[in-house]
Parts: sequence; C-alpha cells; structure tokens
Amino acid sequence: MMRDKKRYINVLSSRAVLEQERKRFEVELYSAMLNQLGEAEYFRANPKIIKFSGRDKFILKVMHERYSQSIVALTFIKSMGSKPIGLYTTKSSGTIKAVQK
Amino acid sequence: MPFYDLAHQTALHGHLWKQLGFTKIGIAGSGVKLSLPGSKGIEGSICVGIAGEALNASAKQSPKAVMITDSRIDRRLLDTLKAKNVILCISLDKILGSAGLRRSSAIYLTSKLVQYAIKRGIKTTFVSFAGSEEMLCSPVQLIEIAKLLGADEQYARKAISETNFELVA
Repeated sequence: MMRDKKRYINVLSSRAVLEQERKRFEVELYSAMLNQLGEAEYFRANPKIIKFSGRDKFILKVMHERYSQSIVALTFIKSMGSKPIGLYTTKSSGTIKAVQK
Repeated sequence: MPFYDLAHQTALHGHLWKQLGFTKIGIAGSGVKLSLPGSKGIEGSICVGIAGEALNASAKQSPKAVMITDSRIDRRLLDTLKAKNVILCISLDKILGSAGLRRSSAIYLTSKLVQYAIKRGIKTTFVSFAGSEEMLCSPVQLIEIAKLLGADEQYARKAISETNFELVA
C-alpha cells in the first residue's frame, strides 16, 4: 500500500503562544480549521501540529492533496478563542528537515 | 523571486512583512497615491471606487491601476482598462476581513470578476490592502487565494511579483 504524501508548513503566528497554552492553542486551531474546511475536507487534510519552534512558530503537517485548501483555511482564520490572530505560512516542504532550515 | 504587496500604514508596525518574505510593501495613501473616481490629475495613482460612470471616466485618464470595491463586472470599464493598459487591482481585504456567508459572497463576486478580466486579457493583480497586522498575508497565501479566485499558479506568481512591483515602485 502506498503511503500518503504529506506536506509540512512553517506557520508564523501574530500572537505568542506560551508553553502552558500550547494544548489549548492546538485544540482551538483544529477547531478553526474544521470550521473553515468542513468535516469532509478536514478529514482529508488531516492537519496536525508537529512541533512548536519558539513562541510564535510551529510546523503543521497536512496531507499533500489538500495543501492548497489548508493554506487558504489558515489565511481565513482571523480569530481564535475570541482573540484576533493572524497565521502566516512562511515556508513549506515535503520533509520536516527542509522546512526547519 | 521578489514579491510585493500593498497595505495600509497601520498594518506595518514592525518587520513582520520582511519575515513573511516580501521585498517591499507599498503604503496605500502614502507611498502609493490613491485617488477617488472623478478626481483630477490621477495619473500614476490607484483609482479606488465602485464600478460606474465616474470610475469609467477616471480609468480613461490612465491611472496606474483601478480597484473596483464592489467587485461588479462593468464591461465598459473593463474594456477601458484593456484599451488603456491599466492594471485591475484586486483587493483581498473584503475576503480576509469578513466571515461566513459574507466572505463566501465576496469570494463568489471577486472570482467572477477575476475570471472575466483574465479571460479578456486585462492585466490583473492581487493585493492584501491590509489594515492591520492580522490581515497581512505571506506571498504563498496571496498566491493560494489568487488560485481560489480563478488565476493559475504561474499567473498569480507573476502578478504578485512583477505586476505588484509596477504598483509599489
């Protein structure tokens, strides 16, 4: 069986995420993406935060086939947990190593 | 590839735009002159207004670009843009700043305008026209939204790089 291709996106947040807030931020992000993508597309995109790097950066893994939709969904998220936020995708790659460079 | 955008001063507090990967972001109303339809001496500016007679008359004065705020397809205006080689500037602030049905409606109207303009061979470009930091987008995001509106990837890249350079230079 062929493994699904993934895409790793480096995301920059306009709001700093403290270490103790990360879990809540993750849940809020998934919820906001579900809201943007819809249930069927969300399941196909399957977004997952792989790693936080710093207070305002994280790496998001999505399925390659729903990469474009995921970028648009991230762009459309302008508030999370009733606070304004901007999520900017700075780099993307097929491997974590390349996206971290 | 260098990328350029157009935004309001209020969106450019720190160096976020540099982190996002832009070479330069033009400041609307300051570095980049904006004008209203019907005003005189609009050469070299971006004329911003709703589609109609006044905007059509302004487009004949050869501004650098025209931004149609209501995204309505005015065939006469678009013919003027093509004849005068004026850039059609698509502002994404309505799409980015709204939510739900309003956003959906804005995407629909804008995509119809973009598809018509590209089909007619009008030079079309995409700018965030952001009023706050949250409304800014990275070049990758601008390209993906342009694709959502009906431009292909190559066209979108060229628009955000070369055509936007003409606006902010």
